[in-house]
Amino acid sequence: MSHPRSRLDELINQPVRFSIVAALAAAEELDFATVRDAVEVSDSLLSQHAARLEEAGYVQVRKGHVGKRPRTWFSLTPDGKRAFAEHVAALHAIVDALPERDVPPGSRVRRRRV
Amino acid sequence: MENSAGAEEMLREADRVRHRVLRQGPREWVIQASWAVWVLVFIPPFDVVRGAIWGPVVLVSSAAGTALTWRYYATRRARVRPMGPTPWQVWVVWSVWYIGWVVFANVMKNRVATASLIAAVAAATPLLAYAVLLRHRDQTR
Repeated sequence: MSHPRSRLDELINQPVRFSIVAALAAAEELDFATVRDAVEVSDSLLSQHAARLEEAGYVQVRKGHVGKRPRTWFSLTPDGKRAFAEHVAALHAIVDALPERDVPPGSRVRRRRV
Repeated sequence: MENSAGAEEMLREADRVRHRVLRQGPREWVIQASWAVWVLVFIPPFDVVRGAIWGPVVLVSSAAGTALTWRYYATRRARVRPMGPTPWQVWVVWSVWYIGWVVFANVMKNRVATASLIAAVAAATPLLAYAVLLRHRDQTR
């Protein structure tokens, strides 16, 4: 039987990209500033990682205006949603693979639907 | 991700980020609860104040409430488009329910001293229950 870490998505496993995808998984669509603030990264870092995720087909980028101001919105594609769900499932499997006695009381992360 | 501690930390980070995002988005339960409170505050006075006096107050406050609701929702929705927003049919059903109780209050006002209070409680209850349900959903999603 293979270790659950083999099911982790390499692209999402990078911490900033994981946080970006986790933010996008919480809603249908988020604007640039909301993702940046939620993930606590600079504009340039967010742009860089969002571009990688877009190239991989995980994130869809939409550009538009609110009033006269240009805005950018991000959303997860079906592939992105699936990849994140599988990644989170693999993380849970890693956590669950550890015997209970090795886990400090109260430190278990509650399993959540994604 | 080689170990359980790292995996747990990533899962916690996902939770933290999710909460930050939901805080920025429109909280529908706030809208539902606000309108329930509006009903409970503005409808019962019809039992003691003449409609010709209290009616315009209700009209102005409902128009202001609608404008505020729209502004709140539109502003936040521009940042965060939520998953599974309340279908507009819910508002239609509630409006019919509300109007029904307003009619009841008008018909019964000469026979029941607290007709408007009864109508307000009856109209607001499903809205409050729905707000509690939405809040619970937001917390556990």
